[in-house]
Amino acid sequence: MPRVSMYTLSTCPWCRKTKQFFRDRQIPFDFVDYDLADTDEQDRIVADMRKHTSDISFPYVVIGDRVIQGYDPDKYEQILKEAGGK
Amino acid sequence: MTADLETRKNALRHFFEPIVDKLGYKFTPDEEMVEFLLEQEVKLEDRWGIPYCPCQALLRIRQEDMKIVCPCIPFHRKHFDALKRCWCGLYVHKDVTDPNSLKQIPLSELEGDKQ
Amino acid sequence: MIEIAKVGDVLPGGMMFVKAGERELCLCNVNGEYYAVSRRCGHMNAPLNMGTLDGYILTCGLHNISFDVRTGKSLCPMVPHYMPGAPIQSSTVDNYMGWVEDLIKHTTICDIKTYKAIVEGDSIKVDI
Repeated sequence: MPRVSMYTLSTCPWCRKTKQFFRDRQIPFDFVDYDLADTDEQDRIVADMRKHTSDISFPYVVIGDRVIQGYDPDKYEQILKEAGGK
Repeated sequence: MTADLETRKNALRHFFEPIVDKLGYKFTPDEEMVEFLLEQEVKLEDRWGIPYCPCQALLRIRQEDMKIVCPCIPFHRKHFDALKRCWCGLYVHKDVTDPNSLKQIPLSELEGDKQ
Repeated sequence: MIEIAKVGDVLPGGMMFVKAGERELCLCNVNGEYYAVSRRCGHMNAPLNMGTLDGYILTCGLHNISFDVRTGKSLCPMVPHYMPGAPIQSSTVDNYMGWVEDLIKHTTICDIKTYKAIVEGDSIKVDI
């Protein structure tokens, strides 16, 4: 099972749906709520996101080594399947 | 002391409606989503004094943060026109009847597809 | 029931100061519907009829506090609203604006009182 981690916003319904998606499938994940983090942590998150993409958009989901921005259940499913097949 | 949540939500709706109407957008038909997002905006307004987008990050750089003040459509026009809705989904194009069929795609990916 | 105005005295989108007995009211016409509210702003008692009416939202001319005229509820958090992290003004008289802000920033904005306005024939009456 690939490692799943994400950066989310506590105020964003799409981020909540993303978390729900993984909870429903009983896939463990860790997440950081950007808006609840302190400023140092926020800077670190932005720097980390900039390494992979030019957009600072949430939800930011990392499955294994793949990065997906935005709530897209089909894509999550597909990537999980690919990763599981290996 | 903060304003009454329902009253402030109605007020934001009243203020935003004519603006997004002129931009070619409307509130999403998903009423539950509208209620939730407006509630978040009222909470953000209580905290920061400005109703920022609940689905975008405050970078603590004023000129960047002003680009995510709801309705932020004019600052992300190209992106949102391609998605047919704004990033958080509060507003959709006027011809959209089923907002659930739309996807959240980041701008970099959209531009990447074109190349 | 007291007559306060005649139909046509206030056009849609307009406001008027009216007296109902001892009380001072502000009569608002929201797209043909009449709403009577207390004339005194719930913040610092400025006359609301000198503010602006946008739809059902009445904004006071003194500190831009808004009210929903249908319910009388305040739409605003406290004014002035500080950005978190902004330096708080010292409360010295030298810094006059800082001093004024220090004084008013703790005041709660009260909701304003609404009165039922009824149109009977060509007169507008309120129930007090």
